[in-house]
Amino acid sequence: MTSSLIALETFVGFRWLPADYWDLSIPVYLYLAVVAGGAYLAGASAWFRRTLGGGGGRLEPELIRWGFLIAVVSAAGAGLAVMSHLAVIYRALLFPIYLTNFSSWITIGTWILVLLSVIATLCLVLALFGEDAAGEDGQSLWPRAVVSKLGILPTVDRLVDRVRPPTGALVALHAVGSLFAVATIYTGFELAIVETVPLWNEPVIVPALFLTSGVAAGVGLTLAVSLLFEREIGQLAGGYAVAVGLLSGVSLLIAGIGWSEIAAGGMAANASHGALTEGTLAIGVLVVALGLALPLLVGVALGAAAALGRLPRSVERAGGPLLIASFGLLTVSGLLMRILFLLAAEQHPVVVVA
Amino acid sequence: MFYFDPNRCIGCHACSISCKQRHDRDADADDWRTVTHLERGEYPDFQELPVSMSCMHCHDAPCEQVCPPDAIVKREEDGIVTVNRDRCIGCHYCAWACPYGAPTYGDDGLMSKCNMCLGEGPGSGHGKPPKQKAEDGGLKLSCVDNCVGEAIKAGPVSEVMEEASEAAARRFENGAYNSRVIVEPMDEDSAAGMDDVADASINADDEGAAAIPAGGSDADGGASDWLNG
Amino acid sequence: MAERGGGPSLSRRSLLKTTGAAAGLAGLSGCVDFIEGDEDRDLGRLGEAETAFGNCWMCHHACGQQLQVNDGTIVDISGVDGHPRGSAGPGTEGTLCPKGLGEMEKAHDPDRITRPYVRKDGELQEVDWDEAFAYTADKLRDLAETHGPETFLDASSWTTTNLHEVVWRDLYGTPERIGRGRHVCFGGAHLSGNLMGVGADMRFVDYQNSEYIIAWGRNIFESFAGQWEPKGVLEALDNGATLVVIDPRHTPTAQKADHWLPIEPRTDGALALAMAHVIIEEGLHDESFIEEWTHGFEAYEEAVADKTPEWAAEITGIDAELIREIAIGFAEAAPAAGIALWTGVGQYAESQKASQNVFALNGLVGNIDRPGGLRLWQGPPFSDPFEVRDIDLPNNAADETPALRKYDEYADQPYRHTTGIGHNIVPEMVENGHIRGIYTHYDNPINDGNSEAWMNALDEMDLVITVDAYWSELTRRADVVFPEAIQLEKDTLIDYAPAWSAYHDRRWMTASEAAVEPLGDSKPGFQILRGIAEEMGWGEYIPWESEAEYNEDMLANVEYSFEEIAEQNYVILEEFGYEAWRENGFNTPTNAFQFDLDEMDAYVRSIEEVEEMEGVDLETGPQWLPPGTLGEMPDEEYPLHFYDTRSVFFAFGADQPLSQQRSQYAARHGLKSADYEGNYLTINPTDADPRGIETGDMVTVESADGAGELMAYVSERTPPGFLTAEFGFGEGVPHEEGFNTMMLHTEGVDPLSSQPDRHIPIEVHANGGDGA
Repeated sequence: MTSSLIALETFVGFRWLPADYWDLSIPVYLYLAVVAGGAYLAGASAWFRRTLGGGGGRLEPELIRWGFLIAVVSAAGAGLAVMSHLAVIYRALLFPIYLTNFSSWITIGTWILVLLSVIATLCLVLALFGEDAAGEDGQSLWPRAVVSKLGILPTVDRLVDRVRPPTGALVALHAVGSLFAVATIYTGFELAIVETVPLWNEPVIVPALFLTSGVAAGVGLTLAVSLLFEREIGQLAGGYAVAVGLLSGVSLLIAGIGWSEIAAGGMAANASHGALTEGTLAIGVLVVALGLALPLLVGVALGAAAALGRLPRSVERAGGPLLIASFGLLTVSGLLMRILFLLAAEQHPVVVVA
Repeated sequence: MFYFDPNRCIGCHACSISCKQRHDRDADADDWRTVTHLERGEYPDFQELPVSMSCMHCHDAPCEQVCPPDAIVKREEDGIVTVNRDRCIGCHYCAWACPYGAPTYGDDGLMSKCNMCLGEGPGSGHGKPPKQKAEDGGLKLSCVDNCVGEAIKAGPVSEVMEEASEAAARRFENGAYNSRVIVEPMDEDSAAGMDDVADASINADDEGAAAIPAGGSDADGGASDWLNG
Repeated sequence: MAERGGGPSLSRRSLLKTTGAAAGLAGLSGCVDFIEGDEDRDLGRLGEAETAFGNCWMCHHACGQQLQVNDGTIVDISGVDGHPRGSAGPGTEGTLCPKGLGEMEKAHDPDRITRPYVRKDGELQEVDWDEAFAYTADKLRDLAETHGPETFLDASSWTTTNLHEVVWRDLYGTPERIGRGRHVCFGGAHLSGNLMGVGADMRFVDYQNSEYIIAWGRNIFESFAGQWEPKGVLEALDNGATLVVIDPRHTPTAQKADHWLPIEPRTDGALALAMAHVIIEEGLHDESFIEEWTHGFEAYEEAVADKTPEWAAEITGIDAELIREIAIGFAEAAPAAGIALWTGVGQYAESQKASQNVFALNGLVGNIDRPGGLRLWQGPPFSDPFEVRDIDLPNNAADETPALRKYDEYADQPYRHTTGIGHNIVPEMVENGHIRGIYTHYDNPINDGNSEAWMNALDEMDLVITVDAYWSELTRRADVVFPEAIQLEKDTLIDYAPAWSAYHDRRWMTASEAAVEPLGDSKPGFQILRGIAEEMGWGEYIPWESEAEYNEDMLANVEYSFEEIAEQNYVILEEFGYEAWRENGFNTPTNAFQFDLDEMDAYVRSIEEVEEMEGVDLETGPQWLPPGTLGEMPDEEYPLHFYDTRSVFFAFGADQPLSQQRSQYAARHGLKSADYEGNYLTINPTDADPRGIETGDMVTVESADGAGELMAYVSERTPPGFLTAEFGFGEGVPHEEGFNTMMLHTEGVDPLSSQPDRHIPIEVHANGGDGA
């Protein structure tokens, strides 16, 4: 039936659409949301280890506090980034009233981000203040110094201890927080449901990629910051390094699969692919790939060695900076990846078959 | 629903201007109704086809689905998709979702688009009584009213189908353009016809091209959107 | 009363709730267009608007306009159903093209000149009307005394009033008059049409009755004299007519054609002769018409005897078989076959002869004033208001000979025998002191040819009076600037060629009363001319107080009053038949349609002079003149061809100031986002690529006589080697962005008609740096 129709057709034209509706604040938002999730997971996992596994060492509490701190800052950054893009900010701030369309991933995502922020803040406060925290030391406790300057540190400590819920509730809190952290995969769905952009419209690849790369970055950033001050790369550090490395590797794999899909796609996919293989965007792609490959290698190799206690002394000294550098690169590459997703986006042209 | 006949369109842009003036919008604002001239071929085997498009008021409006504050509504009463600018947050999600590039944004960042002349100006018509026939006092669509070639029509699907040719109706029913708009096929006698569609500067193995001839059921979303979507 | 038509209601598919919906509101049926003042319906401005009419004066073919006026502001504009120019005929939709829509913007354009200005101490200064009229009269009297009124040139073009003829010729006494068609629009073809006996009707076809339409050097779907043309052709196509387009470029008309002949530029004459050859060979010519009603067939037959399609194929680049097919198709469909020809075969130096060859085809197949052919349109029986009032008009120019014929300096202008003046030669006439003053009225000579020299000439003239709406190099150089109201602000009875229309066998009239007040202090041209006349002491000759009164007298022989016509915007009058020549013959000395112009003495004299000047052999009958016989050919320095074009967005240079049209013109080229709203140089990639030119780049185009900058538009729609740009932009006209294409030449003309030769050899190069 259709082929007989085609015999009449004598004109095929393509009306391309602008595909330029978002600025860089959106990739920043998409990224920082998942980084927050990753950092939270780093903090929460360390917290679980300490609370349930009775772990020790200097790194663990640092990971907890840096994790939650980075989560809060990232989430705040994500919020600021996305609001800077909006035309009417107060309507976003009053989102429970305005954002009523729960079929929209932006609505879903807003709740996730807000709730994650709230829980992360709670967990952070609980980790920073109280009698136990007062007795600890580590760079991650610097907010205590700030509060102290305000002269209310003892009050805050006492207050926090008074409202601190029992361990069972705390476990639930951190578990729920972890769920919301993983739920930052919504950022990938926000893109994936856009059917007009083949570069985005991959309901498995894009969310998975955003999650793994974002969590890797969040955890990696947490570890890197922690290692900035606690230079020892012990088993715990090694374990986290391996985790970050593996996540990077998985991200690289997913990205590769996605890349081959785009390369073999239709017109708009082709256009996106073309954009990513030319000029500055191509350089960006290389940086992103490098930013995933390096942490994979360093994280797994160094991390495994450290986790198994086989890290040679000589390497250990260089290991810290190496991990910090590669996880720093990972962080940058994650943002770059989202930016590339935006800049290389092409919408299906309107196919005029006349 | 809109109907468009490229055989009658002369690419004069009267529709774009008429719409702009009806809704009191500045010349440098983005067009709610765009006219694009699609060129193909090398001189003298050259063709240039003008295409007039606006919001298609899709039955499955993707913009409505993605709008976070529910500002975009496909109305029950008359099927017109309107935007409530008192709820719009200017997130531009609708622009990404729209397969026709219909949403436009002004200096205030809020979205506005064709409202089938339900009212005047951006956001007009939202929440207002149903669209009336011209004889009952309804505004005749400006683009339809001033199209020199009478190439644009609008109305309920049943009425518009009556004006369409058999070929147009047939491929509409086959799912062309996801049944969001009726477009006439080109007259067979038009000059400089390109007999080989697959050759039309698309690679034969390109999914976009494959989507067009028979069996265009590829996952390539929009490109196969015209048929079978 | 024009209806807005029964548009369909809009309900979702078969959930037709219109009955319920209609019940929700009072059932206002009949002629009411809008629910008045119903805020609930979001019809802010439209809800309280009143309907008024207009007649579009952008391209001056008067399509009916229906306006919604809200408290003195036009808030909506659309067409008038059934209008002779603006619709496809009785019972059909009236619409408006972009130019017509633009009149809404023009009515309220703050950039318009709204007060009179006169030059005092070297500067233009704002004055009131009384002072402006007094100043003008003084200057006119000075000029008449010092140099004589015959040194004053009436350069009125698109005036809605014809009063200027009386004021300048009859009363002031100058024979100098420069118009449109012959002098700057399509001179060669205009001359041919007149001499052969079909006047200016050869631009149009009786479309709706036609089976075979050839658009020859015409882009009907873009440059139309009223929307009845594109609508008529669409109707013809719907009825199975064949459309052939002969044009070097691909145009919207070529897109809809059954055959597009991408002809080598300036070879139209060869194609026409070959077609005649085929038609005669096949015996498809109309022998009885030829015998009884034509003159000079022998010369014609002889001229085409050796012009085979194969011969023409070499020259035109069109396949010989296709030439045969078109010729036979045309002749077989005749008399329901027509040729529409205009600027494409009217603005190069050999276009008189080329168009003669083309028009001859009409006589050959006998389609003249037959259904579907070359209609001889007839207008309404307007009266001369001066006769109606028995006014004894003096005829002060009666004894004057135009300078072009009077003085020896112009012995090298062969066209002076057939026309009284030439556009490109005026600057020289000013230098010689033969022209010292000018009156322009909706006309900008800087637009039309020899631009640089014209600007200098305007500076040199003793008295420049302009009636205009916008500032430009013309008005800025004037001594007097009179701001005219636009058509929507005037009581207008259209008396300019109310002939061709969608009503193929009916006379008609169209009129409208002022829909809004004139902007600022502007006045209708009628009042301006009357004011000048009064100040000059000629008040007794122009007794009408208002334009409406004058219009009324024009209708003395018509059953309708001005108001009655204006109320409905148009009226259709009595039928007129076909084959008018049976009764009246042709308006030629031989009373026949003339293939051969040997009986036209003035023409013969021109031919002889051109033969001598150019060293060529010219016939009075159809003849092939290769490009470059009279015009320019490219050379090494200027290897490309340039021709200027029109677009659907602008008429002349008058509408470029309007933002909506400029914006869409840019959108049409995909360059709406570029920070540029001038014209574009359309260039084929074959020429653009080696020069490193891409769409959006600023480029410089250069000829032997001038150069300028504009933005490039690279496209396959134009052949390699043939570049075009829209005219009406750039220095000299109101919208100065872009390039004035007429800066590219100086005095080059078609020597037989005076038409500026707009086919110019050029070179182009990229400017470097970023495009706008």
